[in-house]
Amino acid sequence: MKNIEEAIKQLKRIEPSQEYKAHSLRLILSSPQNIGNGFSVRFFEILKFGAALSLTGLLIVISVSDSFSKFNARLLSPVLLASLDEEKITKEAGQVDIKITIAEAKYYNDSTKKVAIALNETAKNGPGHLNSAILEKEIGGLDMNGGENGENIDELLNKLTM
Amino acid sequence: MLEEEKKHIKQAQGGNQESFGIIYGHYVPQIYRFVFFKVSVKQVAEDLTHEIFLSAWQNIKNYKQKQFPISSWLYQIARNKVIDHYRTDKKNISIDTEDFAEETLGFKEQDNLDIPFAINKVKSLIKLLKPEYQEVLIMRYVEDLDHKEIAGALDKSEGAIRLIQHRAINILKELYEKHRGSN
Repeated sequence: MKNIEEAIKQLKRIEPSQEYKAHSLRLILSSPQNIGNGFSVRFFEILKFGAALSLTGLLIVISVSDSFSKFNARLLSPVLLASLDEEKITKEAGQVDIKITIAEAKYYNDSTKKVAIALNETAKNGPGHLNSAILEKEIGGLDMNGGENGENIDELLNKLTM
Repeated sequence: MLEEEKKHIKQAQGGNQESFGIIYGHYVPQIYRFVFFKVSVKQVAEDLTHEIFLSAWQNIKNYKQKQFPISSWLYQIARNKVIDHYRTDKKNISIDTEDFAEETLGFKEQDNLDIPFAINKVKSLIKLLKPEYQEVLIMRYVEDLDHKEIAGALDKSEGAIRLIQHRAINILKELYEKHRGSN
């Protein structure tokens, strides 16, 4: 051998057989090609991204809205299930309203009497008579079931409950 | 072939089987040799070469002509297939190691190849080199690839390829002289 480079070039004589080449090529060409990353693939990728973005936006809008929140809570929170019965809630809310109204009415009734007595006493005896203990005693002596104020409260209650 | 090759590549990317057949016919001997030097077993070299071209056919649409020549792309696939082969098939590694040892010590002639004894000797010496040196020598001297193509295949700069080639050929010369002296 003249030199090593020439010797290496001799390795070119190694080749696959014609039969192998023909058989291999036939098998290769019988298999389908993968979809490349050309225009069509890019187009579909953009389309997919756009669709994903739109769906995400839609999901956010739905989840933010009240209807979905209730639906979501009802589905996902078993603890809240019992308390999320619409009929019960409405009934409870109605009862609470009435109680509040009665309490308010009672307060106004009592305070009206107190104010009336206080004004009366002030007119007669001057501001020196504004003793709370005396006022309480005088209120206790009043007829709570009858009188003008009691009738007014009944009327008010009737209006509210109708 | 360059302009013709570009045309065939474009057509093959469009699914033209005849064009791919021409590319296959042109490159299969060198890819086969490259793999054969790596695995040393004819049957394995044939199987891997088949897999390389199957992969090339299936993914040719992803190949971009502007980046590097198709030969570099095919060598890249070949290198990956050989690496996968050694990673997944431990049995083959042990067989190859045995073949390698026999060839290195006694320059044993391959039964399954009709090539002269001297070629086997050079092949055995090349196998003593680092894998990277082997690849550069095979691509440069056996396949006549230019430095740019080799650089593309091995993902290195052309300067690095020239340096590797220089070192590899010097080491091979030393080994050749040493073995010639001992025989």
